[in-house]
Amino acid sequence: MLKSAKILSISALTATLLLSIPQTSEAFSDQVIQKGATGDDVVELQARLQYIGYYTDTIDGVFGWGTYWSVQEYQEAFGMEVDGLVGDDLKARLNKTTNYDEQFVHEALENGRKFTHYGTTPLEIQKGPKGSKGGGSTGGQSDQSSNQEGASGGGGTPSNEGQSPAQSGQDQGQGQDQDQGQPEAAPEQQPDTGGEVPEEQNNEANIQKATNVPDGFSENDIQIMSNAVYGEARGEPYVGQVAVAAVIINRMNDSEFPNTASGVIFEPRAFTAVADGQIYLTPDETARKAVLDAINGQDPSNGATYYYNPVTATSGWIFGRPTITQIGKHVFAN
Amino acid sequence: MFRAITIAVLSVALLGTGIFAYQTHQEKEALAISHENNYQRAFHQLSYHMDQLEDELGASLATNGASQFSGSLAEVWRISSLAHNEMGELPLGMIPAKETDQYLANVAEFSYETAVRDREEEPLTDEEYDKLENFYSQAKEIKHDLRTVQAQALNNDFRWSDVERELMSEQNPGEGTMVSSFKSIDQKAKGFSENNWNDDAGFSLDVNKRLAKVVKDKEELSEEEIIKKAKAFLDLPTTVDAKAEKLGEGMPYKGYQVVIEDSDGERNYMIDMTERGGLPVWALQSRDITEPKIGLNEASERAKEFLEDKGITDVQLVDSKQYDTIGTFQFVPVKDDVRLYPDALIVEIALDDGDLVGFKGANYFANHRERHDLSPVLTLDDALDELHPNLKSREEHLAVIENQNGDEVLTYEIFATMNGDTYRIYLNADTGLEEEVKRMQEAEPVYDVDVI
Repeated sequence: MLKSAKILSISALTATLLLSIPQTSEAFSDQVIQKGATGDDVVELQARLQYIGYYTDTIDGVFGWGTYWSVQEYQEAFGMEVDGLVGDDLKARLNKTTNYDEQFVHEALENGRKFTHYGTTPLEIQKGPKGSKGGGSTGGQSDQSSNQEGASGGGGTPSNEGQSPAQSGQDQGQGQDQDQGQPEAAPEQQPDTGGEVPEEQNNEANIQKATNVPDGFSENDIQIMSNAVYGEARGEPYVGQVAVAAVIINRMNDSEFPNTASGVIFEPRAFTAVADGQIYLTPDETARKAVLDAINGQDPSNGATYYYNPVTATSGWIFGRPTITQIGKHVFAN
Repeated sequence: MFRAITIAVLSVALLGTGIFAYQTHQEKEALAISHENNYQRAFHQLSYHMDQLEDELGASLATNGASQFSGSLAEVWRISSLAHNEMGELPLGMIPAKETDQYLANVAEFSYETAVRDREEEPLTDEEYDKLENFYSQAKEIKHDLRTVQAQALNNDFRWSDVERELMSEQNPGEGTMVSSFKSIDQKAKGFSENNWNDDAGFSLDVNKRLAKVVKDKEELSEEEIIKKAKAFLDLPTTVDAKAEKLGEGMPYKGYQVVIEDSDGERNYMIDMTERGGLPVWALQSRDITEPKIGLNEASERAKEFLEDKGITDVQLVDSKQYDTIGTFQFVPVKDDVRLYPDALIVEIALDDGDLVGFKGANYFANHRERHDLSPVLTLDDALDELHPNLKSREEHLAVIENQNGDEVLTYEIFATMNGDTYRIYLNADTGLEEEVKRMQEAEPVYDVDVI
């Protein structure tokens, strides 16, 4: 990240460069990036698109709708096939025309730090923060801090009197790519954007990590359900855990039961794990995966709304229900 | 001297223990009371809302004129869902409330449907008016019974927690108690819900029942054949260990659950197959998935290849999401450029080796069939004119969806943006009416509590 490390790259397209000249980067991995993806490639894609003004949302590392439309606009502007897929062609073009300061963006992502628009506007003429996101940092400040952190080797310590989140256990797709060792591109370049910078450039941008959640559910719903599944079915086979999660969802859709996840789970006497407090144990990754599977439509219980452990069940009436299947120790019934 | 000291020390200790026990007892008592209070609140509110429900149903029968009518029907809808909610706060299994719940759900559904539609054009039919009258007289009875139980409870100083305790210690709460009163209310409500709400009137059959209809005429297979088919479907060698178990009588169709263990013992598969025709309803593989090596795009292609390999062709990817190490894909069949959403399939691929880890085909096998009416009355331009002027359309498809009444309708599926939000709109391709409008969820920021 030191200035001396920058290498000249001679390319017809970069002839208009004013300041220092970037290292050619092969930062993107080989994959074709498509909607729904998460991870470093997506972070880079969003940062690069933002650099040339095609992406104004939060850089969050999840290829959602906003990113999808940005990619399509970019493809349309440059006469490429408009399919929302980020293939080699598009990546090569982005590599040539934009800069990506991987370390800076990742630091910001880790620390949930807001910073000025990641983009072309030279610092001197950059406008002040445009209202919105608690405009603490101006361009100058943030860029400075990025350099400082760069020099300190980027240990990922949240040293800056940072805003909100540092990372916790849930780093979606974050760890996965880090080992791939992506070379860094250098900052401070005046890029050739192909002459088509959209008008409305927002000066404020922020970077915050995000995760994919299934439609209609929040991360916190998933958390509550994972707690219930873990309390009820830890030690059961994975499929059995998916089935327990599916029963919660089947109840939500059944007129006999409350229609929210928490309503179903905390219905008095509905789940033993709620009655004896085991629901407050910290769930493991398997329980969470099982919940996601169930929300995404898997239902090994085949539509059951009840289940019980025939060995420990206390209330006799439950045995009278027509059984569907047994998975592990649980019998599923409706 | 020594004796005196001992006595003094022991009496102090005794006193201390006494105080401690008393305090613990007090705390426990306080907790039990607050527990009981929650039940009491839910119960009394329930009977209060049944009261109100009766009033509003009566009012809606008496009102003439579209606008006021809307008001009272909306009120009915609101109160019935409140009451439904309160039933959920009473201990499950303690009171037999299934039918009462069903009654409330029926009232809610009816009042919603009639309250939101334009009754200038579509006034209440005679049949619907009868139904409303029915609901009203039923509400009257349920309310009356509930009021009686409530009076009993108040007079006899009834405690929910007592019944709960009895129930937990497996004693049957005897006759003549609250529980049996509730039971008789519920019996009555059962009569109501059977009388005027039959299942085939507008209600969609659930997917299992539809699947049962589809497989009815197919060939019945033996257990060995089912296992063979299951292995073939999962691309496993015929040599792996597998055992099959029959599904219980709670299923509308006969089927097997097949458990397959790979020879290395690390992965195992579970798959449900129908006995007739051997259709794979769902399959899951459980094993640890290591670091992702393939991208989501490659995984989606593998998923598609898998489906094509199994003879499920002409499908289109409509949604893909990466959850850490798994790619989840939704495919729908496409016929004459129309997406058939009721027939959707789910395929999950592990991103470490591209292997299948999840499959769900129930909807596909239950619903996929030749559909005849796939040509829209409106052109796309006509449909786009119906869109809210602030929306900018980005992507359009023709699609068959199941609407809120459970009917299949041909629609234009339009993805549009407004103020940075993406919306999915289904416009009826014959009438231009909005069947469904949904704001698409964006990825959720990680709310981290460690720092607070």
